[in-house]
Amino acid sequence: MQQSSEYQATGYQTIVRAIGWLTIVFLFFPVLLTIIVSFNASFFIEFPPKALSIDWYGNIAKIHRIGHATLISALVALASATVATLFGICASLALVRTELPAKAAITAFFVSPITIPMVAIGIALIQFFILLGTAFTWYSLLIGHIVLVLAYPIRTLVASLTLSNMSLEEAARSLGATRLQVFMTITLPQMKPGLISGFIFAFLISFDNYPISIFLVRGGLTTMPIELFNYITQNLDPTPAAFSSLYIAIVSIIIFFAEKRWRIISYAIH
Amino acid sequence: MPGLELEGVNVWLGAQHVLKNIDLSVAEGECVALLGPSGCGKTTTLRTIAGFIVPQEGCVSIAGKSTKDLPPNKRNVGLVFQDYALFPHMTVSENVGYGLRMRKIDGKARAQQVEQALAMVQLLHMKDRMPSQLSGGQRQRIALARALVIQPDILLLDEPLGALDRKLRDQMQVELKQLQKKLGITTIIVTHDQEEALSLADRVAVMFDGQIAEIGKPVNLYETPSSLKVMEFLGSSNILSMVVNSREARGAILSGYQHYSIQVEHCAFSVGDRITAAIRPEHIGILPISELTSDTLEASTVECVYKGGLVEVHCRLSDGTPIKAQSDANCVQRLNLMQQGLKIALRLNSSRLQLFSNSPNELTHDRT
Repeated sequence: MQQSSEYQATGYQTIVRAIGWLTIVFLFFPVLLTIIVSFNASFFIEFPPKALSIDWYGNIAKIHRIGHATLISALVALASATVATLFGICASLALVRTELPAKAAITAFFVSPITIPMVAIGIALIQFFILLGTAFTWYSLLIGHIVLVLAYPIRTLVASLTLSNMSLEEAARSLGATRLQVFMTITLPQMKPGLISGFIFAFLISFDNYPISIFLVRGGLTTMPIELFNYITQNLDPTPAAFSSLYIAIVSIIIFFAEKRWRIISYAIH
Repeated sequence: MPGLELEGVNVWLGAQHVLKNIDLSVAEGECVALLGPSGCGKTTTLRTIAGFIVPQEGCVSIAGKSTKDLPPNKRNVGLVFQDYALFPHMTVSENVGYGLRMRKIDGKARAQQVEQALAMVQLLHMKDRMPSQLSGGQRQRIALARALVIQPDILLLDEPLGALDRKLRDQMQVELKQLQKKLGITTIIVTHDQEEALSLADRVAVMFDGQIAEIGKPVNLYETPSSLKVMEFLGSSNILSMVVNSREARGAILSGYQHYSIQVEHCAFSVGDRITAAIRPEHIGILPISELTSDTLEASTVECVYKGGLVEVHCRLSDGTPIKAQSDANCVQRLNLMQQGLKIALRLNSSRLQLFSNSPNELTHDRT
């Protein structure tokens, strides 16, 4: 047929497509497995499941202190994402809008927590907090998480500020706006996509962090990933899979709407 | 009282001396174009007037008031950017009303003034659109309405028509000129487009290397520029090196190309001086070689460039000097100028010949 030749891919394109699909499968398979296992009727994690049930979802409450830990995780994530975003606004303004010497070095420093192993950050933080005598407090946990998530809002805010033309701010100035009015009416609205995506990513990174939190918690101070992991080490049933599936569903819904409304993923990748 | 005055303005950006002693006085309601190649300091001048750059030396006065220590938001200046700088998150009305909002003009009064400004640029029906939904020409007009609605003391336009296609540019050029005259607002236009400068402005300031080389009415600047550099920058010109042969009451006879000599009415040079004579292509007549006399130059054709209506005839003198003349399709056909290497005679219009002294270097070079 004449038509089919248009759709016929070259050998090279076929290989690229195959790699693309394999990557998607590779990334998505663990998620899919978790969801399937969570509906497994059996007491042990097995695949494929022999019978289906939703009992494990009812069992979530049996995870030790899970409600309390999830609340702390949510509060820490909210607070660290807020502080990191506010800090990100200031840092990105300085990095994009001023003639700062060694901009590249400063940017690299701000985003360095991404490149350092989290365990190393955790050990460094706890030694630091022990030295200060503030270890294992809510505040040291919060500060540790701010260090962890800081890079995300800085990156997205720098991207949205770079995309926004400086002449907009100058136009507003010439129309009679003070520096503060320019910031509130022009600069901040222009930063909005980066602001929202940076905040959401910072929140999510903090919310499910284990390797840093493990060094910073003790006794009554605990977080959701830590209690979940504790449960896994002592039990073999699929309750954590049920919890994880619930978590995946909620996060997916948030990201789906945030992407539709503010195109957050495009900004995070930028 | 001048609408705008710059006195001894010097600006250094880092170690670079960007504006060197700029003096400029613009009458109220006058339109002056700053014209020059990129990097000549014309945009820096505009940004200094707007207040985004504070000059290290000199002062800027707008409508008779010194702008010393006055930030951009206190200068009452209407600014139109090359990229229009419309606020992408606001509607057309909100864009135009922004300056009024900052002036605490609210409610009905603001809505009324915004509508008036939009009606002035014939875009009232677009008031609820977002800037991204407008064409280039429409954005340009909204930017203009936004700058004018605050009733500025002075209007600053940075390459206002640079981003538009040719046809739209011609149309906007006429509209802009009419609007500027109707409102009688003091206007500064920054442009690298000569046609834009010559057609829009009452006076044009040609800038080179951070200085104003010459300022004058477009016709004077084009026809009788004070320096060879300005002559070469504006339009196209032919450069001939000549010698003053003999002097008369005020004029002189010049020569330099074989038997050719030309009598000019005004000449400030003495006998024996080597000078540079410049003439525009439209002031050179093309004759058949049979009419070659001592007051015409012998040349041979190189190429004809068709420019629609006019034809630019590229020639070469016998010593190899390139020379351009302007002709029309009729003449090209009659004399068969399309043929390469055809011998022709060129008659320079002596009253349009501009004489300049050679630079000192060339002078010493000639004497050795």
